[in-house]
This record gives sequence, structure tokens and C-alpha cells, in this order.
Amino acid sequence: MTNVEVRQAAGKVLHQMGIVEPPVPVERIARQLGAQLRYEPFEGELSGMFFRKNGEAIIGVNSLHPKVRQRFTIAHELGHLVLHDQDKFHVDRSFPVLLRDGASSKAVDQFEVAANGFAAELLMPLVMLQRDFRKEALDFADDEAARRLADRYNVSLQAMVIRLSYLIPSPKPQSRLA
Amino acid sequence: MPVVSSDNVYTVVGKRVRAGRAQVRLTQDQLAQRVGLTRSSITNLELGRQKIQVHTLCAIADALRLPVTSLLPDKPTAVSSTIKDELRGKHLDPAERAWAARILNTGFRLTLQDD
Repeated sequence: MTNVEVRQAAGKVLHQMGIVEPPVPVERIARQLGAQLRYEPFEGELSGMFFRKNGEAIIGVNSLHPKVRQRFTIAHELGHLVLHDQDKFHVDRSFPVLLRDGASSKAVDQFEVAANGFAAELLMPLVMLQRDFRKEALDFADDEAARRLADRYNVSLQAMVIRLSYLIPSPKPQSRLA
Repeated sequence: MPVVSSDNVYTVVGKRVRAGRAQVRLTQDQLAQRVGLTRSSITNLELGRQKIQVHTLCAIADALRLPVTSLLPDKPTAVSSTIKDELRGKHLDPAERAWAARILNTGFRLTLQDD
């Protein structure tokens, strides 16, 4: 699955739900897609899990993680729900968000990369970001802009900075949108 | 096959009677009168300390306007019985495994532990 297809899949979900503005209501999306959300505390890096059986989909979230991270977790698990038919069960620790180029050959990592790409597009849709940039004439590399956008999209600063780094016009060809 | 211990069965039935009674807003006294038991029998039964007889269970279900089966323990669901299979072979430490099992179990009201 290409990055473009992943992005389109996320865009389709937003379109179906009529979501045109941040912050994206990821919990509502999960419910509308038929996934049950369940929250349980876990002391540690474990972020979430996805389980699917007989048409039932369950997303587990580590309730001790910051709200912005929980939102990313849900969006990531929705990526598995939407993109990966066969995927039945797995637990996510910290997401390999820095795995930008999908260099790993392992299929499982490609699934994770795709789910991350889906999550990024779902929570920080390119069209919304571009609109914000046009409207406010922001500098892609400006920390203050990233901070404000992170708040506006209800995502972590880290997630927004990574997201923006893909949007910066780069001379290097590996800077693709993951 | 999971072994269902009798302790579990009566505890589950007791909890369900209690929950059902709360829903129709009956006191233990009122329920006792309707089914011809003493209030303390209802108390004990709700705590799982008294082994309820089938005809009494039917009368209670009637009084609570519930199907009698709704007072009985669930058969461990397909999902709960697969949890251990699903978790086996994953590289999870015991704490992670326990967390995943909690997530999968929380949706099932009073599901019996299958171990």
C-alpha cells in the first residue's frame, strides 16, 4: 500500500464523517466505524492494542498516557482497522514514528508504518494543515507555529513536528510523507 | 474446557439478582415477599452464600421481569476463550498480557474466569 493510498483512506473516513476542522474527534470516528474503545491503565510504554474477531473490533488504550498520545493510539489502531483486513490481534508499544522510509523489509513493520501514516493523516490532515499555513503564513520550521498547531489539532508537539517535517520542501528525496 | 466452579456460579447469579432487583427498584424485603422467602435468604443468595433452587430462581426472574437465562452465568464467550490462545505466542511480558486480557474482558459483564 502506497503512502498516497494510506492518505486517501484516512481522507475518505474524514469525508464520510463530514469532518472539516481540527481537532479531529477520533473517539467518535472509532465508534462510528464500529470499534469499541476500552481504557485500562498500564505503567509503561505499552500504548494500545487492536483485536478483531467475528466482525467485532476492540481498541484498547493505555489510560495513563497523555490524552494526546491516547488520541494518536486510537488513530493508529483505526489504521489497522481500516487498512489491514487480516490483522487480528496485536499490542502496540511505543510507535516507531521515526521509521520514515519503511526501510524495514518485515511485513509487520510495514503495517505499523502504514498505521502511523493513517493516524498522522487522520489527526493532522494535509488539506487542513495547508489551509492553516496559507491563512496564517506560518513558517514550517518555526517551533512556535508547531506548538500552536499541536494545540489546535490536539496532538503532541512531537507528532506535529514530525508531521511538519514531511511537509517542508526538502531537497532530499527520502523525505516522503509517511 | 473451562471448569466452572460452583462458587463462581452462585456468586454470578447472586450479583445478577441484585442488579436486576436494583433495576426494578425492589427492596430485598419486597422481593422476598413476592417469592416466598425471608429477607435474609435473599441477602445470602445475593452474596452467593446460598445455593438457589431452580423454582426459586424462576420465581425471582419473574418478579424481576427478566428471562431466567439472564440470571445465569454466560458461557465463556468465544472471545474470552480465545484470549489465552491469542495472547500465547505473542512477545508480551506478564504485565502486558494481563493488561491485554483486561481490555478484552471488560466488555463482558460478569464473564467467568476460565482458569
